Amino acid sequence: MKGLLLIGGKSSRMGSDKSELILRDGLTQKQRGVALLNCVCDEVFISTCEDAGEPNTIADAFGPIGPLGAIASAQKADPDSAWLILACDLPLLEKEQLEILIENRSSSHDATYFSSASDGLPEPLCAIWEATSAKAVQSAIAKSKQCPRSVLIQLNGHALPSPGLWPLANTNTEADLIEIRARLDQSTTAKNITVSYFAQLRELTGTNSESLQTDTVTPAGLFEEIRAKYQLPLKRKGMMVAVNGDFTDWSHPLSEDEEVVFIPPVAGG
Amino acid sequence: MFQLTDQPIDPRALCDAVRDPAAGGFASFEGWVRNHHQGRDVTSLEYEAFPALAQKEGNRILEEICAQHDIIAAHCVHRTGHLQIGEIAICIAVSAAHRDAAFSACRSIIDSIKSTVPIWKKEHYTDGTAEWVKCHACSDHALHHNH
Repeated sequence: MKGLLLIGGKSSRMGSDKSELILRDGLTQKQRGVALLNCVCDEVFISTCEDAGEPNTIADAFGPIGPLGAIASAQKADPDSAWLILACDLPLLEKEQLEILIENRSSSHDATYFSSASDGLPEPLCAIWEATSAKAVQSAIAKSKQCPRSVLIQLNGHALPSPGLWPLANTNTEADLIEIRARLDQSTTAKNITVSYFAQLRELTGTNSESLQTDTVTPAGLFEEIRAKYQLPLKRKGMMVAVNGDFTDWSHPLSEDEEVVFIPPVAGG
Repeated sequence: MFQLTDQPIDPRALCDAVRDPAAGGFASFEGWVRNHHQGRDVTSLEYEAFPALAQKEGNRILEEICAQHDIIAAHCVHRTGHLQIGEIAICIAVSAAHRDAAFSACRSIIDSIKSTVPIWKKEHYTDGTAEWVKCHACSDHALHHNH
């Protein structure tokens, strides 16, 4: 088994490099990712945009098209090996989750992956991609369909139960980072929050309002919990949030007894 | 002033509400329930608001746009509940000394309301199904991103 660490796409090229963030153990996310992969893989590579000529790197052979291009590049570099693909921005991921993947690997399937806590769909960036998945990867790239998750959905994959919401939580936004840091610092406390639902969310949750206890520290974290609870087919992107009757940021620090409303894209007029 | 109502909207009353001796121009916009959307036959529409915040955000928009344009008065009423084809979903009335300000304020008000006021609509179709309407950008994204 070979391991490939994905260290970020466009955002790293734009200057905000998630892979250089130090969140735990005094290691950058890149260093920690390599260390995790080294626990379970025979050989570990880092995906890079351009060929820097450094050892144990695999340069994007299909241009800047994101993670699927990186996966295809690894499969091109060694078409016979299975690849454990790992995103570097999963600070709460532990060695145990990678061991679960390896122990439950089914090489008669095209891939072994965790199901997402929030929607049950494949988690593509902490997954084993077998050599037999290469054809579907190539064909997706040829059709400019570069979503690794969509490729896994089409493949004959072996789905493992979700490891829960947090091990695969990534650091895409400032709010994600606050939520993850609170977990790393163990500074989360239980609080009671009232969540009210309108329109589509009222129908999907089957309730106008509920009081719940949460240890999340931002509306972003709370939304991920609620998304998982009801398996909501909605993503935070494009949505707004209100706390105590006013619009606020996803990174607003939640306090006891606050009232939260999640606002999917509006459609008045 | 922004208002939500579950009763039919009277555009004449809204026009009278912005009437002023100093006004030389009046512009209004009415949004009507249409019988089709993106190629599907629509039979009726349901509007639902997050009332407290819709009210607050609607008023904020009216105040902001009145401050940007030379406006005498601006009012807006948005309907909630189940509406039939041809009914008025939203009515905006703006008066100003001159037409330019009235036209452009009216246009800005409807555009802003559509983008941030927490109101949602559910379309009912002739085939008996119903769907909450997504914004164009989101539904485009969903097409490319089938999960």
